Amino acid sequence: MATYLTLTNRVLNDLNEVQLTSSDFASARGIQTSVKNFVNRALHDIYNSLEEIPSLHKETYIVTKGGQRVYNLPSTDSPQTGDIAWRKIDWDTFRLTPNELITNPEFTSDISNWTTVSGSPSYVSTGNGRLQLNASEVTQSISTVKNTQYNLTVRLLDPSASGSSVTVKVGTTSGGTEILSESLTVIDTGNGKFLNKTFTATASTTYIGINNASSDNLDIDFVRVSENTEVKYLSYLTYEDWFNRYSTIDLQNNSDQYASPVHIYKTQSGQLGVSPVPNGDTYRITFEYWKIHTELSAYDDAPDLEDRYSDLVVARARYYTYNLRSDPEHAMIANREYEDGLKRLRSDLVNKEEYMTDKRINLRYGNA
Amino acid sequence: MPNTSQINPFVTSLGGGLILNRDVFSMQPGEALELKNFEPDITGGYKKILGTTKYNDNIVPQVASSAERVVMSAVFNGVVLGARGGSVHYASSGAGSWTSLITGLGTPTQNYEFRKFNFSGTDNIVICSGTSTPRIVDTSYSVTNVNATGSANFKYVEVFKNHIFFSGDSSNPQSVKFMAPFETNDFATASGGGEIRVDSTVTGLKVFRDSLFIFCNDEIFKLVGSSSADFALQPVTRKIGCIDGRSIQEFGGDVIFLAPDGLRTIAGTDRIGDVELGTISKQIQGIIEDITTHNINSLVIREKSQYRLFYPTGDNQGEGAAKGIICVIKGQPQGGAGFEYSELIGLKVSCCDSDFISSTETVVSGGYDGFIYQQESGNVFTRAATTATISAFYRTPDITMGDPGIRKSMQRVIWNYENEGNVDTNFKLRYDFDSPSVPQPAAYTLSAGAGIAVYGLSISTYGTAVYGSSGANLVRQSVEGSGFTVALRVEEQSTNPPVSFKGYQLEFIPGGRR
Repeated sequence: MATYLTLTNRVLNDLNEVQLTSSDFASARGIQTSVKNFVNRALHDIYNSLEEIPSLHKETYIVTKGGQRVYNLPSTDSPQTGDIAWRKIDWDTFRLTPNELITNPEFTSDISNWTTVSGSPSYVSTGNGRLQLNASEVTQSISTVKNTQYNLTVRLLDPSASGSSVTVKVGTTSGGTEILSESLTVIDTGNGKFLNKTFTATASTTYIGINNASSDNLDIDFVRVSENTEVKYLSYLTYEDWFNRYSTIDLQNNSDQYASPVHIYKTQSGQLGVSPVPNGDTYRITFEYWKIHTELSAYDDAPDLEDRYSDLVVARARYYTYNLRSDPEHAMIANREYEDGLKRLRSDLVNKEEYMTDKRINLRYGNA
Repeated sequence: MPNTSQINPFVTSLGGGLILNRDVFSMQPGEALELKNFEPDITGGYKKILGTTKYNDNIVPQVASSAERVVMSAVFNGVVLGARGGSVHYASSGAGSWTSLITGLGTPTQNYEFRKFNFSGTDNIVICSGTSTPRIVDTSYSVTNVNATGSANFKYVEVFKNHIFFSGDSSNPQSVKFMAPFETNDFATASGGGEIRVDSTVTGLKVFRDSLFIFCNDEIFKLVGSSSADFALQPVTRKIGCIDGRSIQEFGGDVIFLAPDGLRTIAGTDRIGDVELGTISKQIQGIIEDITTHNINSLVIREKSQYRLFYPTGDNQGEGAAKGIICVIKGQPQGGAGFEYSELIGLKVSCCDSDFISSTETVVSGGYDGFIYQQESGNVFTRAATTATISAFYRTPDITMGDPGIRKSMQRVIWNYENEGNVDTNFKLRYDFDSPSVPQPAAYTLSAGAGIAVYGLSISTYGTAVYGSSGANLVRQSVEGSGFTVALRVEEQSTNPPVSFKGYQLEFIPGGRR
């Protein structure tokens, strides 16, 4: 990967200047410091010249709160860990999905948040990380609403092709089966077995448990539980449109107006507005955005651009360096190289395959 | 073919020696701002000095203390006489033991002075200790005490017109006494002996051509004539003297000595009536001002036209910190001869001498550790129990290449040097006066190819070395960095045979004025 050190040294090398090492990178001086700055300046130029660079793309979600109309758009580690301040929101990607109620449902890196009922459940890194049960049982409590339906999905794998079964339990007590008890066996070894069940909660706390009574290794790839609601697209409104059409309703202090969100809009203060105001904490608003790139600082920092575009950074930084060195001839050559490379970058990464489509709706249902 | 039209060459021949009294704009690029343990090479360029080996593996026997330093090392009769603690011994080179020659001279207060003479077909050496009467030793190692009436504990001795002259009697420091012609223990006036008095403390005696020069603290006289009947004392100068008689040497057809304001030559002083021009060391005046008078010694290496002055600062000074000056008289590109200088570091010389043994010039020096060492021998400095690498440094002036206002983007340095064996030397480029705000490249390595043919040299491999090749190399080294001024610094810290740098070419692309 082309690190900050690599990029800086490539520019210095082009100018036959003294290169840096990881140990003296922080204490660079003279032309070295200038080139370091020029590398960041080149990155600014590239990122500011193009939008929707795939390497800056991120997806996140906001969990609604009942009665809350406005939410902050992404910043560092908010709303989710790993988020970065946004540069551009794709307002066409907002959709409403039921919120995942299980904590650590995918076992990506461990089996934390699951309580051992019996035996010694363990983590295996196979796949994207799995829970392995062998004469053991785990459970996790989730918050539910009485008389509300929930969807439960479990995927089971049988790595040793033992043919043994797990029991998926839903109850009101730890390890209990008051609501559901379902045996799950892998038949098509190697492909795994899915369990899709809908259950109705009978209390505010429900326990989801999985038990493998046999002494064979059985792996759980994921356990997902969410409210039984449909996924729907949230249409974008301009602020003016929302203001004219919905603000009189949304701004009422009346919970009767609260409902499942249908529209989103950008407030004048740069926040996310939701209309109607959500009527619960169970909605997940998922959307995509492009983050603001981070300036390089440490020697091993790497830009978000792919390595194959590092020449573009070098060319731009070289342009600035030649200007510093009063060498307009070479600066022009470097600039031409940069501009050609930028066109290629735009063509490669930003331009999209398009096709003709017609989104008009015929409301007349008949001939004129 | 690559286009090199933008690359400018800047060719420099090394010469001029250490220059510390001029700005970089007026310095020649071949001169040196730093020249340590390199010597101006009489064949051109700068050559790393040779090392030292023990002349004799055994220490000169002590008298009272192991801390006694060697106060005399004199080449005489094919051996070396070594004095320590008031006794004199002699030994051949190698592992043989020292033979006692003279004892009871008293605790030394200074180095012993000596002169060699031959009045009767037999070589003799007369030794003045300053703590006892002079002794004369012949080739049979028979010792005679110069104790005739008029003798004293002389410090200085010289042989002039068949007379032996003495001076330095602490009770008569202005007196110069001489013995009768061809006599070795007779000061009687009736025999032709006598005494001359000057009006200042004598610091040294030296014969040069037809005169005996008498050096005092602040005056210089010369004695002309051939006997007591016509000896006549003439003042040379009453403004300048010699601060230490052991700095006086005949060198390059002249007499060189250390005056308070630097090294001077007698001929120069005599000829111009003692004006500033008589000083020959103005280019290293900063070093001259650091010289202390604890124990100054000097010698001449004839085959190199070289004068060496050693000035250790005290008994406790570390050997690695002891300094000296190398002065070489060599032809200058613009014609005539001139003095070039360099510094010596790492040789703590207590006393020294150079003379011929079996037609080979032998340079010996006594150490503060009791051993006698042979200079111009080996590629390391030999100590009592160890050896030390000779660290040699050469730095060019900060070269502007004609226009300090434009940036020079360096491309290559092409060195021309002559090696006698393996080369493992580093050199650095220093930009803009070694400015801390300018990136300075790491050192580059110079190493010889295996193409030279030098007998006994390991890299002269059969089938690879070229018969008759000289060992002179043109070594191209790509370099990096840029600056408005450029300097090179050679750092030779190997134990390889000396390498002599002759010149270099800087190749650069001129840049802008920012």
